[in-house]
Amino acid sequence: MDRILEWYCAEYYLEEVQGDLHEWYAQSQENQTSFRNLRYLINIVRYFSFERSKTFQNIIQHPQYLSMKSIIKITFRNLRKDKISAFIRFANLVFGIGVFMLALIYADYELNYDRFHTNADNIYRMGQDTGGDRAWAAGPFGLGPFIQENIPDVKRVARFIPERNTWISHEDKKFYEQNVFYADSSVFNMLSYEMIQGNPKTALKDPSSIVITESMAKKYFGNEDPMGKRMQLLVDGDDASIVTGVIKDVPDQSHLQFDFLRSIYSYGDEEYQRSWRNYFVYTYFETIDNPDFDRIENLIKEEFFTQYNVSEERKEKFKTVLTPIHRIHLFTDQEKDVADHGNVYTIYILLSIGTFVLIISCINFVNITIIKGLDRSKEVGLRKTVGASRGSLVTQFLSENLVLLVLAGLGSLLLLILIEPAVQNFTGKQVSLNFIANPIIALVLLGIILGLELLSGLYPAILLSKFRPAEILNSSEKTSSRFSKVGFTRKTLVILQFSLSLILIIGSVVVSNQMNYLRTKHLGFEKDQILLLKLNYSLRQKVETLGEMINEIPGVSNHTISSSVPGYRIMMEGVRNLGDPERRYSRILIVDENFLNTYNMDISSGENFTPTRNETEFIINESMAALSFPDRDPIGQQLVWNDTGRVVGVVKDFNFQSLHTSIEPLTMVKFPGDSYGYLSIQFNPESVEKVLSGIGDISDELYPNLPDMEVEFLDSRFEELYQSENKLQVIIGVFCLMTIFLTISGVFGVASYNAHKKSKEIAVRKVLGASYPEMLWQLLQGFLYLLLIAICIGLPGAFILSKWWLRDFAYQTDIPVAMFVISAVAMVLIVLLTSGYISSKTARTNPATILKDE
Amino acid sequence: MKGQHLGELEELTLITTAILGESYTVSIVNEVKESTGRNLTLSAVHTVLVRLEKKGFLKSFMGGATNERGGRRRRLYKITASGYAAMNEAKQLRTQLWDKVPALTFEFSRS
Repeated sequence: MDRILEWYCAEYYLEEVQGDLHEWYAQSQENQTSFRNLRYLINIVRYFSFERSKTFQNIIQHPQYLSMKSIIKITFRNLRKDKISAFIRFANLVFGIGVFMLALIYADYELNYDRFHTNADNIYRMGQDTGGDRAWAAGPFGLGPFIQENIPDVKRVARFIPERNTWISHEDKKFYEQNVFYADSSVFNMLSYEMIQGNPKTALKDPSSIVITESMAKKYFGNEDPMGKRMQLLVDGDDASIVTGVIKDVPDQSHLQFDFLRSIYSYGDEEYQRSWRNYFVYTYFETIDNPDFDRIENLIKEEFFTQYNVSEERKEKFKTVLTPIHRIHLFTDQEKDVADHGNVYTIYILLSIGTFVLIISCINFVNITIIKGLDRSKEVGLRKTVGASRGSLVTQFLSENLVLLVLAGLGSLLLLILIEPAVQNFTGKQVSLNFIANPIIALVLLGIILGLELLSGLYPAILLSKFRPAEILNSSEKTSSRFSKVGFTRKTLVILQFSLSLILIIGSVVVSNQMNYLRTKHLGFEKDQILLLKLNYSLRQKVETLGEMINEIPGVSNHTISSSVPGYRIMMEGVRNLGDPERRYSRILIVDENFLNTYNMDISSGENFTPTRNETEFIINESMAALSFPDRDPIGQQLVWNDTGRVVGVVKDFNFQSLHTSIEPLTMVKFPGDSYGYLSIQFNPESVEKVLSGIGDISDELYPNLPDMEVEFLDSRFEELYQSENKLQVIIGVFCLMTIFLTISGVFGVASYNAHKKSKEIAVRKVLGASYPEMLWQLLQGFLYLLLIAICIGLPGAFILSKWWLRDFAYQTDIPVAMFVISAVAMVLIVLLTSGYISSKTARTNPATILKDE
Repeated sequence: MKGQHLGELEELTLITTAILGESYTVSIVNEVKESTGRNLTLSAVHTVLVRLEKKGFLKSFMGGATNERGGRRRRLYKITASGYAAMNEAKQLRTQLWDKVPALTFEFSRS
């Protein structure tokens, strides 16, 4: 039985415990206690505790445990000694790591769009460039069947047609839906949208079938089983579809975002679906591994050439554009795209800013660590004298670093969790920043910590352990000279920081300046007093009555119907002069005679459309006039687009797109027929509410079965066009504040170093009669010099970057020179205040306290 | 400071050690049994002794071996000055609290 005890019990306790037990046993023998053997055993078992076990004793007596314990203890002691610098170091790391991870996670999120498709690498979208300036994402209806039937290496083809603004109902539930897509039945074989109910192979085979997402099932059917239920659809007529499948909601990282999939076979008849005239279908195909791209592309090209009878000259320009599905979101910029687009430049910018912030914060961290290390040079000296090897000192410093890094890592995890809702709200994307939900974060963090440990820990560790004890213990003069060698690196880093913060400060000013300009620039028409009604099939039926009734509403001064409106995509097509075969590309707006009046546009020559005459008439803008009729008066000339007509007027150029682009040629045509998409209403801003309620009443009266019409303000539509710039403005503002914080910490580090280095000099000078302001000046001087260099770098840098950013806009504000000066002054103030705060302490110290050590 | 507070068993052990002068596990168990009638287990007392030593209330040294112990030495514990102070403090705290207890008068209800 003793062996049990010997097996677990640590040596330290063994003898005494065993002795006690034996003595107790002897006693119980004397007292004739019953079951004494059993009790003996019980006692042995009860003696078992972790603290007495061999393992525990081994751990706590292990030299590494002991040194770790002391390292942690010393780390916390040092941190506690100087709380401000500890806080700054900690905050720097938390920020640095946090921002870097945020950028990394976001980039990862964006880069992994459509990666969830099992065969993502083999799926392509077919687009083509017919020789215009941009490739088209959409193609003809007949392309899909052609590829499927004639091209080897292609496994399957799926076509999509998005349909916006569809009215869907089931019994009493009626909604306008924006994301109804038509799709081939092969879609579920090719793309990995997970089906919960229904058969993926057959779900879309029948023309009357519809597949809905889980949340739509909930919206329309509640807890009922949706399978086999009828849904009423109003698109181009009154259709009913039967629910044949329910899929999981489309993942956020899918560029195709739909809530309903209708069978594409319900879209026109067989002939229509094979036609090459209908140019709005998105064609995706899946290839085998390592397909022969040249053959695929050549076959498609040839078919295009035969179908469209392309001239030799245009054949040269024609290109097929195959985009791998996972690149569509981030790397394409095609005409007529359905994709929810990301911008790869945003990702580059974010990643570089994240890296910058990380680098700067590490620099600050290292700087402050070295400076704080100076205070410990005596400790290092003493440790060395007592016999510590350089290696063990490096370990000591590295481990101290690690403790801080781990703490900061935990801090940044917390930070990410805290800002997750804000980030999701801001980006509108379900980016998961929670390390529990997204374990990659933890791995990345581990990598970052290890990397930083090596990068930011090794330098101070080696530097601090280098001193010879005799030097340190003797005088600090020589140590300082050792440090001044690294002064150059440090100064460079500080200059870099100053310049970067300056650039960001100026950057945020330039961005908000430009945004302000975009918002207030007069576009050439009135955008603030226009209400838009999107017309769909049902609304189009009674559009004339609708217009008349709307005109009756008090507060409405005018209304017009047009194919599109400024701010929305306007189609681009070839227009030619009568008798001239050359087509000139122009944006085409089909309008009625009220368009110019409703939008308050200025006619520069000629006149407005003739209201009564029922024939084709054109009004072109000045750019189109210059393009088509460079040498003669355009009024009265004949133009050909679908039909021949007379040019009756020229309108002044106005910005019908966002101000990123300059004004393109525009042709407005009054055209008998109804291909109208929008009803624009000019209203008096003072009676907005009356107008809105009036429209609501009309909607109820004219279309009692439909949900209320959806109304949009044109100016908010224009605001939407600058969404990414608005976001940039916020981001750059946040980064600006952050770099200011980082700069302050940087200055803090260097200023404390300077003050430390010069403390003796200052003390002696003070003894000799120098005044406090003189000393303060002495300390600040160094910074002015650094600042000057930083300004020399920062101002041109900011200028170049601003120019680069602004080049995206056809309309730019001037870069405000005054703001450059103000930003530079602000920067100087920030730096001087911080360093002044640190330096004033030293400059004010009683010389006796400093000199008493000598 | 943390850990200055004495638990019941700790106090008991400390006092017993003070009574005995030099004590070890078995002697404490015996003494407690004699004076209070309570049966303590060896391991419990040992744990308490180790803990008290860590707190600095006891100090220990290895004492002589006896036959009953199979030739093994015993670890003898002796009370330290701070141990005595802690003991005293615990006592005073108790007295203070007792002083605040009002004399109880029992009311008998006539029912």
